[in-house]
Amino acid sequence: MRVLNRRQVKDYEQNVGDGQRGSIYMPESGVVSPYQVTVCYAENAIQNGASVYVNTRVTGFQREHSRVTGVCTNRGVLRAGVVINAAGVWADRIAEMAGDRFYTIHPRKGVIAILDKKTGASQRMVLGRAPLSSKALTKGGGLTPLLHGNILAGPTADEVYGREDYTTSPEELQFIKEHHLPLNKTLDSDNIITYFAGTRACTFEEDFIVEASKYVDNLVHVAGIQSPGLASAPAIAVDVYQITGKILSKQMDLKANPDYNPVRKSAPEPGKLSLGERNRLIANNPAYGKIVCRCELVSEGEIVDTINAPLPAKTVDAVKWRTRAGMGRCQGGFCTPAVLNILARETGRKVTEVCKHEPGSELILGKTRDKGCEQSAN
Amino acid sequence: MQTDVLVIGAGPAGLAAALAAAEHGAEVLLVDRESRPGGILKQCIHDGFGVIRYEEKLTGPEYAFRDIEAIRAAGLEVLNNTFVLDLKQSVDGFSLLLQNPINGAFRVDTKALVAATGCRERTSRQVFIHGDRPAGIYSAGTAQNLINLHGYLPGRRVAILGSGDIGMIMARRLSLEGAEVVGVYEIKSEPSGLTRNRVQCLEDYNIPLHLNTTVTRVHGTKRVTGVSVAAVGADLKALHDSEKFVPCDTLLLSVGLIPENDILEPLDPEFDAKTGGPLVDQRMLTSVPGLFSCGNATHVNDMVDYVSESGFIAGKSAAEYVQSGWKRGNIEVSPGENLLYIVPQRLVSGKEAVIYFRSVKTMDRVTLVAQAAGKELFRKKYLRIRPPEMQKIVLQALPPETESVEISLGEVT
Repeated sequence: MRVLNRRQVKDYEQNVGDGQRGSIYMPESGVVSPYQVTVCYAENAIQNGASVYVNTRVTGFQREHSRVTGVCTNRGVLRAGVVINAAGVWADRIAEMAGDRFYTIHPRKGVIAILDKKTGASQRMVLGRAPLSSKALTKGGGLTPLLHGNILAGPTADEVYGREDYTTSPEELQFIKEHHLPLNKTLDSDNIITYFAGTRACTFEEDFIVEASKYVDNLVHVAGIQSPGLASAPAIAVDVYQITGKILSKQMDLKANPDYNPVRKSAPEPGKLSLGERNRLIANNPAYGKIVCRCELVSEGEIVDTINAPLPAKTVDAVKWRTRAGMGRCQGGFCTPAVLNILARETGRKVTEVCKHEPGSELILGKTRDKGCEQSAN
Repeated sequence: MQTDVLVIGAGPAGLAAALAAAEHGAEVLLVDRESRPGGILKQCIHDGFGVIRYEEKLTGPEYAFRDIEAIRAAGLEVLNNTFVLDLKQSVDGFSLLLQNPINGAFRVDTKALVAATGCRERTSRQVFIHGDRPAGIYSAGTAQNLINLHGYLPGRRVAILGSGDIGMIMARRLSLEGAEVVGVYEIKSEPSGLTRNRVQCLEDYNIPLHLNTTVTRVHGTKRVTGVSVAAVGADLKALHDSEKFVPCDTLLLSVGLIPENDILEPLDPEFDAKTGGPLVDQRMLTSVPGLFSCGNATHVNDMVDYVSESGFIAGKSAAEYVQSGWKRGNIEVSPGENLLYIVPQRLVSGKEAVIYFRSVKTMDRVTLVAQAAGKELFRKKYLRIRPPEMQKIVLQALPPETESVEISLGEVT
């Protein structure tokens, strides 16, 4: 870490906004894609024997004395030696169902704006405004250059009532425009291609809870994870691994899995290959040569791969987060019909069953003239 | 691979450019990213195309079909499903990296390049729509694609924000397919599309048009459940006292089109901030030698006939450029009083020029005057002029000493 004066900051970042008086330079900070990291972890777990059930809601627990014996869900009861509660904004509710709620989660909403890739060249590093007040709720947000050339502006931080309040408002976006965009003087609000919200799972102590339950023998809490949660995840995992091992060793003989493989082989990414390799790939499977998303240059082959991946992407949003199809400047205007058709084809569903993100978010409500036919029949 | 003229985009502008370039003796390669030529016309199954060029009312596919047939008859090479991955200037023109499923990625060198890349729709985020992120928010063109090319109905109870032409056409289309269009909401005090569309698509189908009104919020988390609409004041800001909830399952946006020139970035041509397209002269040549622009990539047109016209000019000029290699004209054309923009923005002397323009506001009984160094070159009276309706004039060849031309709209004198 190094303290830079006003002029030195300019040596690192030419376009830093006016009004800065110096900075703290942190050469070790880095940027990853949170989507990719999460998917890679999950798929590696699946490759090593884990199962992932989506659209599966926990409705309660079966207990015998101080042990959880079953996890009740909308799709049946799951049996497990250990239950790890990593339920984010709902972690306290899950803890309560299991009979060990000693914390409460309050959601804190953050709104983020994503800027066009054209802006990427104007900035090299993460620029943030250091919060000088001890009452600050966050590190203050700022401008983060992303892996694919966009810049991320934000987040905001507001206490909200709804745990899944993903709404945005003009006021929140205005805050980003006034507070974050000026950190780079080449940016303006015309560069914004999208904005969205998420909620942080905060405890009143504003600290992570990573520990075995004191009252339930086989429950582990991983709760209250907020920034820097993603960066902490590997270290948290080591702790959870040890806690879980201790609990399980009372139930069984634990042996290392001889087939454990920490390497996840990713599907081909034509955009990252040399011309020769790319052409061999396309010659083998022409779908890798057919671009579906014109803004992010995503091929049909990549979309098919992600739909059939170990952790399959089954919704339009999942395909977007996994492949970037629909993430560009036209925001899916051109590729949505094609992605819908590929999803329906690959998953063997009707196009009217394809959802944007969850059941109930179907994109197509019927075939044309369905209703017209009914009316004329009457 | 090598060619004289490479045309990017096989919509109406690109088809015309390829035809004209071939007619004037150039070797032509036409590339398009979709699986069939025709561009957006493929999904425009309503009529009204070709009223100027053919004095007929064709549908979009019929209009495109005539050019596609001519392309076939001329034996021109068309590469479908083909994307431009990279584009740079070379010693005698341009070098492109293209890709399609059949040929993979391959290089093509061309002496002249015609960018007929069209335009895209402004998104809900670009007009700062707020709320959650439910399914059911579509741009009008996406809905048109879903209905007309796939037979999918994207909504049953639809609110439309913006009164652009595609929005009004989709209001009619959805009504015909049995959906209910609850209203078209336009923030401005007059519709932003053509009068004929307001009459034929909204009034004839009893679809209410709410002027000075905007959508302030989208409701719903899974699927749209409704929108909040509010009247706006003179500053176009929503008056929250007037806010009311309109139940619907779909919000369609028809809030403007943006010329799509992103692939030209590596060439860095001069742009016109008002049109969103490159600055061109009357031969559609940009500031980059050998790079031509036409159709909706240059500026958003109201009629396909003008798109084709600019394509023909660009294609012919590109063929001539390959033979003689002239430079862009430098006589500046500036939009004076009451003009939103003018295309072309530069002129070369000694050549007639087709000039397109739009007014900043609706005006009655006005005169258009073009002058150079205080001398009047052209004058035309208009009974009524509206920004959605593009105007066209033809300016006679200018003498070589001309430095600049100013065109303005004023009261009839």
